[in-house]
Amino acid sequence: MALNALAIYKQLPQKNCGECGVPTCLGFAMKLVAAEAELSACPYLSPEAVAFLGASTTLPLRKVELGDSSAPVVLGGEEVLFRHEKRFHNPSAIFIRLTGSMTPSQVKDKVKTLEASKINRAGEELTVQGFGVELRKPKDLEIISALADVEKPPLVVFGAVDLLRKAVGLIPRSHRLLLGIKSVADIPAVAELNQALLLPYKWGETLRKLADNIKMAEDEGVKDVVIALGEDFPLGRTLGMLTHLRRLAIEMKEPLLNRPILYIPPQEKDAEQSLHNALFICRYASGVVMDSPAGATLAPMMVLRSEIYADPQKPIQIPAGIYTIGTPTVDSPVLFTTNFSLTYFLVSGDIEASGVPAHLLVVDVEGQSVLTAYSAGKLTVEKVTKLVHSSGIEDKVNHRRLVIPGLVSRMSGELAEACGWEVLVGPKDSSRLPTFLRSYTTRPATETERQIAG
Amino acid sequence: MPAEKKYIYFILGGEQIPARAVGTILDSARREDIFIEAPCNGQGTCAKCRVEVNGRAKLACQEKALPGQEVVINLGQFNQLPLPDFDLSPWREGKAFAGAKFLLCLDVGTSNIECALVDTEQAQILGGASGANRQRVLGADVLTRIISAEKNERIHQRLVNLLRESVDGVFIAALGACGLKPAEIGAVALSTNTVMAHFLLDREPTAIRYQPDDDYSAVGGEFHSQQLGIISLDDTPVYIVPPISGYVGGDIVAGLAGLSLNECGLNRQGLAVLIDGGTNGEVAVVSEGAVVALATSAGPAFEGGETSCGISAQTGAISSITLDQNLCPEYETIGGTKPIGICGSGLIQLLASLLERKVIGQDGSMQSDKPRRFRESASEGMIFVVVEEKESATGMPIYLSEVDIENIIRTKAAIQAGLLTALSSIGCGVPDIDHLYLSGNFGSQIDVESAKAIGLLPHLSRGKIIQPGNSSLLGACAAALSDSFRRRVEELAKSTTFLDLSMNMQFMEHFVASSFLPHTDKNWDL
Repeated sequence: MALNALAIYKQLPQKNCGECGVPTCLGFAMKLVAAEAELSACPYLSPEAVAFLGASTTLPLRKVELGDSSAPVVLGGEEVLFRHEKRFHNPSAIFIRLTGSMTPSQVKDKVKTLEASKINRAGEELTVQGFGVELRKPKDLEIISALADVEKPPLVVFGAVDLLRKAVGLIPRSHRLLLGIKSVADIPAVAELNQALLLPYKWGETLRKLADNIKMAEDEGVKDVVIALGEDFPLGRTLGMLTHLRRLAIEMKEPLLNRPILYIPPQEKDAEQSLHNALFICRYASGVVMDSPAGATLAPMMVLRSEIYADPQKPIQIPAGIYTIGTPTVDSPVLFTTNFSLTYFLVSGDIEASGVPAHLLVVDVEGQSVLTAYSAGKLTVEKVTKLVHSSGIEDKVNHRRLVIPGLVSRMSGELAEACGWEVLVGPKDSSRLPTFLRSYTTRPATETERQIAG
Repeated sequence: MPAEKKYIYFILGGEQIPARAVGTILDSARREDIFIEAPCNGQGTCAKCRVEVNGRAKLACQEKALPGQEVVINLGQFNQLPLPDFDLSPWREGKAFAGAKFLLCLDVGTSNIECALVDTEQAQILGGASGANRQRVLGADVLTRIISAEKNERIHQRLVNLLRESVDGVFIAALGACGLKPAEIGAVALSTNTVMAHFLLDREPTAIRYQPDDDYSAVGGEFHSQQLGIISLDDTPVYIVPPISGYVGGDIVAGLAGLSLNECGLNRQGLAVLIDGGTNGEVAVVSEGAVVALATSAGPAFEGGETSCGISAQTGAISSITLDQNLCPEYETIGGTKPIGICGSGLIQLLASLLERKVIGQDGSMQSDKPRRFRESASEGMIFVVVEEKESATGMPIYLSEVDIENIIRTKAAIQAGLLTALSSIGCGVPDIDHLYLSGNFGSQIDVESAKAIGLLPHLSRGKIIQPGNSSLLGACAAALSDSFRRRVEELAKSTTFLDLSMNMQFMEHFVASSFLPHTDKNWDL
């Protein structure tokens, strides 16, 4: 963003109406600078202001949206070179390439296996974004129909212009494709299809040629261009080029080469492809391609991606609720901790290490650790009490005893009074949990417990 | 009340609070959430915890709590206020309170309260008074007070009563100074921070802590004196300047409007900054009609709190000090009496001189080859003695310790970081500042060059730094007189953008870089 908040503020209506969700126009301008708000949120902008601000609020790395316009897969749209400067916005999309003759039922099987490879991690669903289809002969169009049948139309299609034209006809109008053509000569013909265009770097050979090709596509009316890289160059050179292109976009504000990049790895073994892709997820690929992935190679890629694209300014959070560790019974201990992901992973890992099955209650404290949340007044007796009463834990266990983190032993009295459970102060450090839990199970039941258990 | 076994009784203004006698008087007070300032934490070295035990002055930390004792906690005196030099003529025709001849205008701060009596016909200040905000005995900053009020209804009520007593006290003192009777007061206008406004109106301030950026405008506007528990006035209208947010109150709005800073960049060119160096440490930046404000919770180090020998600007306070080659101090006190402590302006000068003489390192630690004035203290690190026991009015040495310096650094770094964050939020920097207003009593007294030397103020040229006095009180006076001024503050309260610093990474970065003497933040340079 070239303009500062004050310059944007001057273009805004200055009504301070709050309809955009921010109480003041200046506050809205600050959010625009931080790319936390969209210009369209303001209902009172004059067309001149929209034109002026729209141009200056364009992100240094252009954004390309694919798929259904209501929930698009976004490539690019980045504004910093390093994550710690602000954050990365749009995670590298992972596309599964389908080639060769596939029967519709094979395609549908592929969709199913992919559905199954979704993983849930720290409250976030990790998944691949969709399919890329390589059209070699007219019969391959059946793959596209099959995907459209199960409402998974492809996002990327490679092939000759006549096949691409037919492919576009097979998918819903609101669905946007990225089209990979065979040569520069195809640009005018493909421009008419009004989709995003994939231009391989190798045709340019030099950056100047690549820029010329992008210029040509734009002159033909193509709005969105994605650069394809990979396959043809050694790994080191490709990595260097991606870095160089991103620098040009962010630091030099280059107006033509500031396009998202799709990395297409050589057709190697699954594990090697995933290694290549991981490398380019780390360094500036807005999308990557895989041929026949298995869960074992996809999962690490997706976890890596989720880490890189997480907002470093916001703690990662776990949804509040009951988590079971091992197969707990009605007699198993009940513990609570906070929803900061690191805290949760440490505590749940330590409980697991103890070998004692347990119920772990996770309290929503906006992603802070136990002591931080307690000091900030976010971990309160009321919150824990509410969770104990509303989470359904009272139906899952026969006893009424809650183990609380040792660092908040101060809460014990008030908590016992408020929630009516016996409170047992656990260790201050979760690494002591295994020892604690092992002796917990062998400890004889107290009078209260015996009464509850009847 | 019959003296029950095991209990001692604390007298806080009009309330008697029984407390279990445990350890020293200080220990017993702490158990009851009664705050007795003790920066040396009970070592008996700072002499700030002075209380009256059965009629005799004692140090609370040194006196064993014995059942039946009556402990009177000194809540501070009410003083006559030197007449502020405000030009109220622009607001003369306002006729906000028709028919009122004398108006009472108040600035209710976290630590201090100031009051001015205004004659509507002349649009002039007749006199005034100031005094401590007695809530201080229950916590130095607003956050501590909100938290204790949350804990139980009794403490909330105690806070409300203490504040109302203080306001009443200052008000009576001001009337006395002008020879007026309560019945002659036609109306009241006051500016204060959002938390104090809640306590004055006996409302729960809890939400402020969790949602500082919510709309709290309900504590501004027109009220009646009964709603504020001002008992000496019957049914008098009261106007409270509306706040911007939970942490930036009507006092800042009043200051901005009172100084006409909202016109910056519209009728007037340039970028203006208003800094209120009080406990909440508010900073506002105005440019081209856009206003950004934030609160840094700087702490009371410049208002006599958090330092061993710091006191508010009162008679006997060292207000100006220089050190010669041999580190021999030459000082002046307010009223020319024997010194009892050092006030904010004195502390800044002292720190600047020690820095200049290279006695203090960048991190605030003391080192010197002239050991005569230095002593080693177990709890406070190295200390620099400014006034020896025999020369001070209290019989205790007046000094500055390394712990004090740490506290001062934190306070000044908060203000410095607040200013940098506010400026960068609108894409501006220190070199863009055209006028910097230092408001508040503290702001009007400090030596600008010393403040620059310790990094509290940027190195702007002299003419750019303006010390307008208590601008919040000025705004309260204008709001008392003029209806159009009220529209102006209401508009300003609504249009100002509040920056919440609690999750602001930029603020943290600036704060860390500023936590040195003078600082290590390159953005601070011109």
